[in-house]
Amino acid sequence: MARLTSLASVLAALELPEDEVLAPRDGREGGPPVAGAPREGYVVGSMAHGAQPGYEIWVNARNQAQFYAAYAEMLEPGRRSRSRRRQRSRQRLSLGRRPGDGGDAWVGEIYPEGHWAGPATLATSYRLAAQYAALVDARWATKLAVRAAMAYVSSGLPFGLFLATGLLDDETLNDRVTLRALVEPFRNPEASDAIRHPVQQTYLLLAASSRPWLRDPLRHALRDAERRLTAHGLYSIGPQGIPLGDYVDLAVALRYDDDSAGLGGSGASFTEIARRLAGLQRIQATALRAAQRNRFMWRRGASAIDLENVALSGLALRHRPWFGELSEAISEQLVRDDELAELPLWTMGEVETELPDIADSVTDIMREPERAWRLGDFREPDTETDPWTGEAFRTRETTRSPTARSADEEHRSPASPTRPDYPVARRDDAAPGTRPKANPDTESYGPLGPTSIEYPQSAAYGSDDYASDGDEGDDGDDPYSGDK
Amino acid sequence: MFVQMCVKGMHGITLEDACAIMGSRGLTCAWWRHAGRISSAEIDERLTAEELDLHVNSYEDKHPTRGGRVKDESPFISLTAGQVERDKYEADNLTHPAHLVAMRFATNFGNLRGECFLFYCWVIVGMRPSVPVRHLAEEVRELNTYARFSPFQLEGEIVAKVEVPPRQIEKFEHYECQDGRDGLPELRRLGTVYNKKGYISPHDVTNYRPMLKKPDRLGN
Repeated sequence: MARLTSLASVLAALELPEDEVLAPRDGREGGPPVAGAPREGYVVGSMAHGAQPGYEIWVNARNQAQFYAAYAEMLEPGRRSRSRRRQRSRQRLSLGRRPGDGGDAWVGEIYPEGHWAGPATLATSYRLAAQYAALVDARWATKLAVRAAMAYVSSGLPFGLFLATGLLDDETLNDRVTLRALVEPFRNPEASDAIRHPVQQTYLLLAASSRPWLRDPLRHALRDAERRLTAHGLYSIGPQGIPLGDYVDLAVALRYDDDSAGLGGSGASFTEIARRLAGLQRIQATALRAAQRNRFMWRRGASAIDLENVALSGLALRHRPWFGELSEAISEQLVRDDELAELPLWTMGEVETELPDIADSVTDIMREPERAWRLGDFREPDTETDPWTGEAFRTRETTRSPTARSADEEHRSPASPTRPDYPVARRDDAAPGTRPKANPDTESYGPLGPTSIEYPQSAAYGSDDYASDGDEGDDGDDPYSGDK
Repeated sequence: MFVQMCVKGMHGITLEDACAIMGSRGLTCAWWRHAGRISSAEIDERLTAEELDLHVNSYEDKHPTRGGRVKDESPFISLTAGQVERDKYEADNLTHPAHLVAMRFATNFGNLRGECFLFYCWVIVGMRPSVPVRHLAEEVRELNTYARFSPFQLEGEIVAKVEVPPRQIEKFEHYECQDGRDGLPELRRLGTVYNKKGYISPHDVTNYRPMLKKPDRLGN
């Protein structure tokens, strides 16, 4: 019997054991967790309302999902070309030198075109976004994961095919255009070095073992794969450092179960698959408990959901029409284990439940992955539901200012640096609670205002000696809050 | 030993603070900032493997022997140099570039709506654990050096000790994280300030000899 049956139960399981209840930062008393805490005053990133078990993890998961999605989006080729057009447009308008270096110009510098780091970071960022989003909204997480899968595929990595076939059902995958996009890059084993790499071969083998219809198009790439992978069986791979041989064994167990592979199809393989998956999930639970020891990182940045493990479960659960049955069998295997071992099953169950409703969006993302970020329903959770009450809410867009301050605070205290020569728009020009007015000549510049002010390239730095000040003692707020 | 370029993400400071850090203060550890004045003897006492472990794994906990929390008492400074997870990109599937990791910390794990800074600097890293040696940074991301498994090893963490002097800080980038279209945060770089006056490139002080282009003032 599964113990993780709802998001609230997952968040409670993720809560740090014997954690002290921190007082909310608004000065109210902390107190023990309270069921059904009010939503009023909900501010992302604060403990402005009662301390539900896992509340801070949930809030931070949402913020991290947004951060990684935003970072990935900045790397989208379509977005970059738009930025370049915008920059050329500025130059044509002879607007002079921009203060700073112009919004997202950093992307081209840090991830130059043609270098592998850009596509790799794009895929990684979407994957991480999906992992955090899984603790917020399964629909949102699925779409981000599919975008990540397509990014891996377009980089020539079979891991993308592994992710997509694990997460999605045959009905969703049964689209000629998307299927071709998914499989075509891996038909020819000479297409890239990555296809022949043992780790990527393993992912390819797992995908083909799960779906018989993949075996024919992948037959060249997978010729003699099991024998070749034997030599690499003891190498640790994946986020949990599991021996590659364990993955291959699971792939073999899936194939033995398959009548079409001519290898039988016995009830014994059902138990074998459940046993192997339970073993893999125990390892993840152990790793998560180890991660909890770093309480600072766990509260803020723990990535409890591992998409690779989720997809691995998905490949087995979708291998036959036995999703619920096998899921139950794996849960039975884990009944005496840490409940965190059930996380991949719970995530996969959520994806399965929500998939029919978002199948069209998913197909759109797979057909045109580079345009996915333009879709409204790709950027935000589909539904914002209180995990503890089940009530839908959506206050974020209307209550939070760009600096997470209230409208009054925003008006009273412009969040601009203190240097008088600093080229930031004077936010007190704007009405309370509104964004600063855009300069009509520089509309696309966003919040930056005058363009004639030089950025302080040769600023006169402070001359005070930190050690000899004598007044730098612990007598006030540390200006470096949050700095590690 | 080798020279490692690193990034430090920070928030909660102003542009003026950032200029002061790069111009004179340097990146300093929380312990120094809070104590105001520290001595060489105290530094020697604090640079231990136990303190490093507290910094890496118990950052927000109460310090076992001092009054405050580890984050206020630590003699170490976390930097990142990025990390590719356990294998080259083709083999595994997660890459953690220094910019992404530093930005994650600078934006307070995605919570920040406001300004943040990335400082680019260099440190000298020991090939083996050298915690008591103040001027060598520890490569806690390196599994060959620090073999124990850390679930957060992928932060690509390099730990400097006590301070990173301004001479080793090349520049800082100033970003703003704000709500963009549809509420998704947008990272805009507001500017970059180079440490033109004070920065000394590692190329100038290490075994690096550029090819001869034209005679220098001494006729060499």
